[in-house]
Formats: sequence, structure tokens, C-alpha cells
Amino acid sequence: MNRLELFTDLLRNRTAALGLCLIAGIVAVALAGPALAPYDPLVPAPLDRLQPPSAQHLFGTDSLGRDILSRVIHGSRLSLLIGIISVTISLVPGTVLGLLAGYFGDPLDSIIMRVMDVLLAFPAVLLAIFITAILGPSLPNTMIAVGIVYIPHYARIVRSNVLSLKQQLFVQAIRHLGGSHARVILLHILPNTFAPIIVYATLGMGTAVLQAAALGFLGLGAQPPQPEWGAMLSEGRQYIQMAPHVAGFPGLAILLLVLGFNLFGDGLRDVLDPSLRSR
Amino acid sequence: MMAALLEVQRLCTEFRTRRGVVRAVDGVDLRLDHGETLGIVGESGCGKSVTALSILRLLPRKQGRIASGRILYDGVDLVSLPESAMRRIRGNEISMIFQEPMTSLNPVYTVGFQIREVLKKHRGLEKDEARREAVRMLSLVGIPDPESRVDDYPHQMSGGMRQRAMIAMALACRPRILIADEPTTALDVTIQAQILDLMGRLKEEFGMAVLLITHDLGVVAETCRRVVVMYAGKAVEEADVEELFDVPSHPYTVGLFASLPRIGGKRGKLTPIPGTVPSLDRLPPGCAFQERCPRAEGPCFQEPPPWTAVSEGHRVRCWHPVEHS
Amino acid sequence: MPWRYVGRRLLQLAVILFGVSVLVFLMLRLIPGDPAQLLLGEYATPAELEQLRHKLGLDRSLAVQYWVYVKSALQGDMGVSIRTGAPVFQEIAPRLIATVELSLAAMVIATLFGVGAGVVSAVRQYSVWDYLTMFLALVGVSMPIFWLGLMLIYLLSVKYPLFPMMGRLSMGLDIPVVTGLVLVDALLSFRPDVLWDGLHHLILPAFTLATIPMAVVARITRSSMLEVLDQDYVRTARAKGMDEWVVILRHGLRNAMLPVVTVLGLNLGLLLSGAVLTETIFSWPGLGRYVVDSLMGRDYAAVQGCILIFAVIMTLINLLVDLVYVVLDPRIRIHE
Repeated sequence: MNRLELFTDLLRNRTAALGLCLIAGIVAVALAGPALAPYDPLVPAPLDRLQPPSAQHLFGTDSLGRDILSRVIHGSRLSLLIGIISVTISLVPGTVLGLLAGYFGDPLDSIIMRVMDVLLAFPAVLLAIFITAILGPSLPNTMIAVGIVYIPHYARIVRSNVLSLKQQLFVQAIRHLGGSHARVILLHILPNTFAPIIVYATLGMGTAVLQAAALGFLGLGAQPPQPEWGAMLSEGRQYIQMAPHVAGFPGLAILLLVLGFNLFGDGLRDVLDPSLRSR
Repeated sequence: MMAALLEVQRLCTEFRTRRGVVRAVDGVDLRLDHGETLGIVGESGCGKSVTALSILRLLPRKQGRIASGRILYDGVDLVSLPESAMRRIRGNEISMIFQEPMTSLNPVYTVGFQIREVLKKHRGLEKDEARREAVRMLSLVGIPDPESRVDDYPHQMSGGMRQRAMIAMALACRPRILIADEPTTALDVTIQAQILDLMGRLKEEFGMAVLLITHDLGVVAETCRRVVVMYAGKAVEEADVEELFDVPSHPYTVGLFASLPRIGGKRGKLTPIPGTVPSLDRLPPGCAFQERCPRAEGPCFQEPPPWTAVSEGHRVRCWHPVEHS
Repeated sequence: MPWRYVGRRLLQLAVILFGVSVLVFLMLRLIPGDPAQLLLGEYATPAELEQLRHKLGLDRSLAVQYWVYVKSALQGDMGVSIRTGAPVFQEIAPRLIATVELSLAAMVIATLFGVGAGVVSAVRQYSVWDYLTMFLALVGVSMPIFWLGLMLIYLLSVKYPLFPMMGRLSMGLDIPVVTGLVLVDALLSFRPDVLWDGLHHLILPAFTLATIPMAVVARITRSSMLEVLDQDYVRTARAKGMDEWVVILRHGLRNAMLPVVTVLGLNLGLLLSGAVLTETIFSWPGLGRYVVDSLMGRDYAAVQGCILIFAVIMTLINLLVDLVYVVLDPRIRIHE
């Protein structure tokens, strides 16, 4: 399938198209950020505390009088950054480990996969909390923690793909023709695992954003006054009775971004791998 | 003439596909008398299985539907029967067995349970009684040690055994008609003969009529009294077995025989029919067999051929039937 | 039951638990800061510190420390909480039961509604119901449940006060603790008022926690059912004249449950993760909230204990899922 076809197929797939719209919208907001935001996201305005949504403040203001819309807009940059960096942190080592385990087989396979099993034995949020606790609460550490937590997922997916590829004739033929291991892995196996990796990474972006927001909500992620959506929610929690909009809008933003990645990932899977089509 | 047990009249069955609606069965007539075995022969995709599924209204409901025609069973039109009444007929008065014994039994229930299920539904038998009956049926279809095999799961049985179990299940309620859709195709040759024997024996014993669907003319020769040949959704020739084997009239039927190895036949005379079955959504005007027919000319390309009588009880749908002298 | 299979799984489980314990042990050693210092505060003298280090075994080799740690953990000794001074095990037990109650309720909700919605979606594929359910399921999967919980509190506790905001029981209500599960204890002591109150408190957090698993279960049930309903044996069941609900449930759903059970098992991690968040929002006195509080209070013995317990539960449930699988699928039962 060439790239153009892939693209038109994606647009024709309603799920993917809707997801792409959501993601594109949020990316546009993130890029336009400062130009779009009506107020400074960090400067408190004590006279405007906890204002409900109005013409001046479309999403209202928080407990320090900051404009929530502006904070949500700036927060989109953080969330996208978190998604990209966390996924990279899981994807790269996960792929390498999966390739090694699947290609070289035992004993390397057993060792790698048992370690992955151990990581998988922890509930994700808990492991992330634990890692953040060791590293100390901060936004970069959140990304590292969330990244580490999902390494085993990528390792498993890549490994199972490598295992089936290894059985295929063309790979065996290349080995017999004298291709080195590195050559076979890099030129023939790796490219063939791209489709599932891309699908999983797209879905993983949503998961990473969600997890990082959860850590932020628990006070282990981004620290005040950073306009991270999860941290904003955590702040809003105290005012839920009188000012639900403080928590409401950042949460809605999280939902839309994660939904975008999930929709797009689902559609992508349908297009890239018709055998997995969820009919 | 006695009233037929089952009479299919001008049956049309349509399927929704990605490329639009396709007519999988197009105006098929069938007549099945009491205790008779009728064969439907044709290549895969000719509509023979769809015809069978239409009779029991088992078409995949999202795609398939009976567009027109009547299916008279004992004078009652099954096409317009309410679903609940239809359920009382299925597995009770008309049973069906399928091609794949490997996948036609539910893997998570014992064979005995699956037989009991029918008995309970249609005969209202209680558990112990149903179990005894299931064991009896299993022994009737020649499964050794039925007392213990009744508690086997399907995957513990061989393909032949499973098909026997399927037959036991289908016949548990003494149906008047058994529809067998390629019942031996998935089995080894030796097992095939055993299953056909078994079906023949049980047919006599139970006085059933059998509608046998197959692509195998050998099977037809052994078991059927009358045969209908189907091609691209239409019946193209109908005759008694001997008549059809002696004087096949449709070029397609002739082609089928020519592609069949025969004991004592000359070597090198195996000639497959050229070309492939045309896709149902791209049928040419005129006769559907035209592209593969050595005799096609003139009207074959314009008008679908009507039925013509070859002799008493032998008719063919062809503009240029093969003449035998 | 294939005992060899169970044995092999138990062995794998032991290996994983060993890995988990090593990991937890090492990670806590990696945490910056001296535990002795932490315990004694910044005004401790070097001699006091030395003494405590010796008492805690911190002056011995890592291997010895690990051995001591495992040995005492196996005896139920997980150390002492520095916040309360109570043994960690004592702190954990009642909270664990509160978490179990919440998780079980969520699991029941997720299974009932998820499987139900998935089956209807599959049977009515491409209907309005199907599209709507599947869209809602995707929204559910994407849901930040800590936000959903807050919004539910705002809507159903603040704006329309139908449910209590937090806790397991209203103030003043008390029942003798037998199992620790409020609903069960209420039944045991014949207290319908307590049962009602407990249920009332349970509904919002349980639904919040159930959201993601419910959505996941609905999706997988649908696709599994669609696959199964196309199988030959389903057609056979119809050909036998079985009623449609028998065909769908007995012959369809029973076979479609295999992947659903797997997903339910895999989602336990999601559930326990979600419990951390849900408990925080609804002030549910469970283990999830306790672990976060302990972490904030730098109570590492407590954190260690909690994480170990969570990992053990997850591993045990995975084993349980495997066993359920064996029961559900006779092919595995016989072949193994």
C-alpha cells in the first residue's frame, strides 16, 4: 500500500477521520498556544478568583484567578509532549528487547520476557507511582515513569511479530544467502513490525496522556503552577462543590485528546491490518 | 401423482455483498417425494448449499434473504412461516448435516449434551431419558462404546466419528427429511463410503427422504434416484440418475462427466471444463455457461435458455443440448 | 483439572513473585535518603543513627538484607509504619478488604453491563444501538476516571444530592466487623439500614471504577461474539431448531467468553490502578489511597508492603483466570 492510498483509506475510515480531527485540532491549539490564549496562564489575579464561565473567561477562572481556558490551551502543549516523550521511552527499548528476544530465542528470550513479566505484575498506575516516588515528583520524571511502565507491552508485541516473521521463508532465505543477523533484523524484520508498532504507539499516546494526568492528579507529576491538565484537576478537586468548572474543563480536554488517539489508533488498525479489523 | 413431501418453486435467494446484491439462487424448482433421495450437483458457488440453507431458512441473516418463490413442505409454505413454527420444524421434521464435522459441533459441550438438547427441545424428554436415547442414537450410527463416548467432547473424536455424531443428532427426532450438505467431502475416502452406507441404511430404516448436496458425481451415482444439476444459481438439468449418466444433455453436465476419472476409461481422456464459474455479480446476458461452452452461439448470448424436455422426466435448460443417438 | 498445567503455572508464579520482591526491595534501596535518618529526624546523633542502622540491618550486605526481608515478609512481618508506628501488615489488612469490596463491585458491574451491551451489539450489528454502544465504549476507554468521579460527585452528590460524597458508611452507623466487607457484615448482622447505606456509598465509586473495564469488556465481547456467531456450530444449533436465545447465549456467548475472561483478567491491573484514583476521589479507606498517602508521607515500609500485596494479587488473579479458562474450554482441559 502506498502512502497516498493509506491516507485516503484513513480519511474514508470514519473512526480514523474523527480521531485525526480531534488530534489535529489539539495540535493546532498547542502550536498556536500563546497567540490563542487570551490571558497569561501563570499570573494570578486575586480579584477574579473562581469565576464561573463568562464572556471574559470562557472556561471561568481558578482559585488564583487565572483564566482556565488559557491554562488548558497551554496545557495541551504539555500533554502532547508527555505523550510523545513517554511513548518514545517505552517504544525504543521495548522494540529493541522484543527484537532481541524474538530473534535470538532462548536463553535471551526467557530472561528478557521474565523480566517483562515482573514489570507486568504491577498495576500500571502503581508502578508509575512507585517509580516517580524513587525519582521524585516532577513532570520529566512522570514521563520516564510512564515510559518504563509500558516497555513490556511493546516488547511483547514486537516479539510475537518477530516470531511469526522468523518462520517465514523470505527471512530464512536471506539468512541462508549469508545475510548477517544485524542485516536481517534491521532491513527485513524491523520494517515488517512497523504496522503493529504504529498502531500500538498511537493507542499508547492516549494511555500515556491518561497515566501522566493521573500522576499529576495525585500530585506526583507536574508541580504548580505548571498548567498540566491532571494537576489542574487536582487543584479543582477542592472546589468541586462551588466551582466544578475548575476541574471540569481540564478533564474534558484530557478526555478529548485521549479519545482522539484511541479513535485514530482503532481506525489505523483497521486500515493497516485488515485481519484485525474489528468489523 | 402423489403430492410431493417437499416442493421448491421458483426459489430466488439474494445475498448482499460489498459489490451489491447478488442472486445466489435464481428460480430453482425441486421436488422431493416421500422416502426419495434427490441429489443436487454442481461446483462450489453454484448455489446448491444456499438452496439447502434457504429451505430451512438458515441463511446468514445479515446478508442472505429469500427474495421470492415458495417452499412447500406438506403443502405448507415455509417461506412465510413464522420463525417459531420454523423452529419446530428444524431438527425435528427436517434436519440438516453439514460439510465440516470438525467445526459443526460445539467444542465446549459433550456430544451427548448436544444430542440431548434436540431431544429435550422437540420431544420434551427429561435428562435421563434423553441420555438413554442419545446413547441409543450413537450406537445406531455405529459409534463403538456409546455409553462412554456420549460424554466425549467433539475434539476427542475423529472426523468420521464426529460426522456420525452429527447424523445421530440430526436423526434423533426421526425427521422426515434429511438435508445433507456435502456430508462426506471433508472425510477420507474410506470413511466417505462408510458414512454413505450409514446414511443409506438409516434412510431405509427411518423412511426418510434425503436431499443430498454434493459436487461428487460418484456419490450421486451411489445414493440418488433423481439428480438436479446446478450452475451459477440456476438448475440446468434434471433427470433420473441412470438417464443422466447415460444421456447427459447439458454441455455442462457432459463437461462434468468428462472431467471425472472412470474405471476402465481411456487414459488421457480427462478433460477439465475450461475457464471458471463466472462471478454471480457479472453474469453475461443469455446463458450463464456461454463462456465455457464449446457449443455456444447465437441465442446463447442473448436469451437465457428455457426448460426443454429431453424425454419423460428428463429436462434441460440449453439452446443446444447434446444429442445422443 | 490438569494438575501438571497448574503446577507449571504455580512455578512461573513463584519466579515472577521472586522477581517482584527483588525489584521492590532494590527500588526502595534506590530511594534517595537514609531510612535511619528518616526515622529519627534531622536532629539524631551519629551514634543513634548507627545504632538504628544496625537494628534495621542496614549495615549488612544487600543479599542478607534481602533474605531477612523476604523471611519476615513471609511471616507477615512487613515492618513498621513510620507514620503510625503500627505494623504495616495490620494497617494493610482492613484497607485491602475495603479495596477488594470496591473492586469486586466494579467487576460485577463491568461484567454484567459490558457483556450485556457487547452481546446486544453483536446480535444487532450495525444498528443504532451498536454504533452508539461502541462509541460510548471508546469514550469509556478514553475516560480519565478521576475526572469522571469528580463530575459524578458534583452532579449526583452536590447538585442533586442523591448519593453521599465519600466514605463507606455514614457517620454513626457501625456494625461488628466479621469479614470486613460492609455489605456482607450488614447481612450477617441483619442490618438492612446499614446494607442500604453501604450500597448507597458504594454505587458512585464502583461505577467510576467500572467505567474502563466495562468499556473494554463491551468491545471484546462484541468482536468475540461476532466471530463466534459466524461459526458452523452456531448454524448447527439453529438447524436443530434451538430457540434464538439458546443459540446466542448457550452456543454463542459460552464460546465467546474465552477471550472475555482473558481480558477481564488482564484488566485487573486496570482495576487496581483505577482503585488508587477512585479511592482518592471518594475518600474510600482502601489500599490505593493508603499507598498514595504513604508515599506522600515517605512511609516506605508501608509503600513496599502495599506494592508487594498488589503484585501478589495480580499474579494470583492471573493464575485464577488461567484456571477459569481451563474450566471454560474443554479442549485445554483434556489436552494438557
